[in-house]
Amino acid sequence: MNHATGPAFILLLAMSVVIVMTVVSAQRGKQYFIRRIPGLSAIDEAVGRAVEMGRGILLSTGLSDGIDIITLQALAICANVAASAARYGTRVQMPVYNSAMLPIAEDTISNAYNQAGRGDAYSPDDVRYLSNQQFAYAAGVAGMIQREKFAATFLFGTFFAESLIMAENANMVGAIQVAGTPSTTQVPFFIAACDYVIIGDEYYAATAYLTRQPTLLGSMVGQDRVKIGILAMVVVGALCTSFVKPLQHLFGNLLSDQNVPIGKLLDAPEEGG
Amino acid sequence: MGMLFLGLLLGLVALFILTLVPNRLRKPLIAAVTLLSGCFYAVEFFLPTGAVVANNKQKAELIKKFGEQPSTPVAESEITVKLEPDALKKLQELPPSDARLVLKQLPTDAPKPLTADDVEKLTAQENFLTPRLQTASDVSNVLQAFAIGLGIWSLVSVHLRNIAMKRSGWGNSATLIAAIVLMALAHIGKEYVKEGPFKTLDDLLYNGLMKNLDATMFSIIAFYIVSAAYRAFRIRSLEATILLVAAALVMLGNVPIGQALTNWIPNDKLSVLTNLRLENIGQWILKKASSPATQAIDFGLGVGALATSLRLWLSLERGSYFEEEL
Repeated sequence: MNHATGPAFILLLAMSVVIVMTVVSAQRGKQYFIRRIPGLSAIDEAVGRAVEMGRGILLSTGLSDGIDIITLQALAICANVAASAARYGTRVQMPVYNSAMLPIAEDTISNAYNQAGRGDAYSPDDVRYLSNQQFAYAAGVAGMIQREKFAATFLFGTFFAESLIMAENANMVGAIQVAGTPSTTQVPFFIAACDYVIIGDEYYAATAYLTRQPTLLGSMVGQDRVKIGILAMVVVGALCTSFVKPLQHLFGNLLSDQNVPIGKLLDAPEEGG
Repeated sequence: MGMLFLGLLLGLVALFILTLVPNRLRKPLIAAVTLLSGCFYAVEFFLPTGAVVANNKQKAELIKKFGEQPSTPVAESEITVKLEPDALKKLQELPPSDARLVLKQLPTDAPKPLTADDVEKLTAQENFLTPRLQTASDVSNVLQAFAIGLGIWSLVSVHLRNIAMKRSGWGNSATLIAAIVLMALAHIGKEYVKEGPFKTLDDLLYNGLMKNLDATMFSIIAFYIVSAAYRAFRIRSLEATILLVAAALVMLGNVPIGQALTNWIPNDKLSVLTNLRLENIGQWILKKASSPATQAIDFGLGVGALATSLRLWLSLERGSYFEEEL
């Protein structure tokens, strides 16, 4: 069972405080700017193409064993795509892998339709459970792609070996594809098969970029501040451990992956340890 | 069986009560439940752990084996616990503070030497909440079980509508419904009658059909890899060229024919030329170029996941989760 070590506790606490403070300041009206992300700009392009072609859009939130952060984030992105598609009268379909996610997905997509003022266009058949078997799900999605000839596909979430089956089938029917996953092993496959790929933490920036909600923008700026802080720590730590003797042990402990109990950070190293 | 029935009944009553909650109270209720559930996992994760006996049962076993603990604390210098060689090795691998805690917990006149297993038990990294994780996981499993019912209902209702309205491809829907019913019958039947037609049917459907279909889908990936790789490796830009060259070098470095191409370069660690052997170039790309980039991406993703978790846990979003901000 994993537990926090002393350094992990301090770092997580500091990171959490920075992120929450930035979110709160954004909620109080502070303006934040985020740069243009090409992969995310492509979402509107893909929806536009589906509208022009008069064909549907496929949304997939990938494979998840339960209700997790990755899938909720994917759902948030899909909600924006669905709202955009509903505004232009394009049908979206979402096959669901995990039955626990089904009611949440149904609720999310129907909310998106309502937001776009097209609640009547939502059909309960559009969000459907397929299977919780990896390749049965992949086969089901591939079948849907071949039958419906989607104009655009959005693959966001956790993907494994089935990613290429889905992406290549969509490519065969000429769909424009936007994919994003935190599974770094699947990113190369998506890069090879899809038109636009959202890489790394862009995945978590997507909703902020699409909605421009202050809370989400604040959260994103908070993440960047944390990353700058960690980078500074790494540089300062490297310099200190190299040149400043009294700080060697403190930074050695903070940056090591050893299990250092809380309160023992400043202990001198023990002989034979 | 009685407990199962009681649990099911309680679950249904709880669900019924939840449906009675007025709309304006639903969001605060969800926020409160999310916060409390998150607190449980956060506190369990952050509470200090140490070299403690994992649970009462294990403690009882150890006390039985080694006798009662001494009433007065033993000074570190007086600790003379007998250790088997494996246990000693294991103890030496621990951080010194943990090792001292393990030794302090043991009586000094143990009748048998301490084994590696005993050290493992004594260093179980737990706090008082850790054993409760299983209960929390059981609750999740119960919710998941309810959700499977929802999933099957969604699937069946979509396909029953297809059949009822004779939509195109309704035959496929009928096959799916038949497969669901047959598979469920065979599997449930096999649970009660171990041998006979149910077992044969289950073997036929699961081992004979489904596993093979699964394997077939997996093997199809090989063909998709070829077609995707062909498109990816077409030289269209500088980035695509770099990708092509790097991939070719890594691939050549990992196959005998590629290694044979640079076999004439001396494989001497002291020679700079050794670095030009294809296998070394391939390894350099993987370990020095690709791996740090992946780690950097993973780090960014970790921070992103932390920020999203905090927003959800503390219900920082205004409006409901996916709605426009109010």
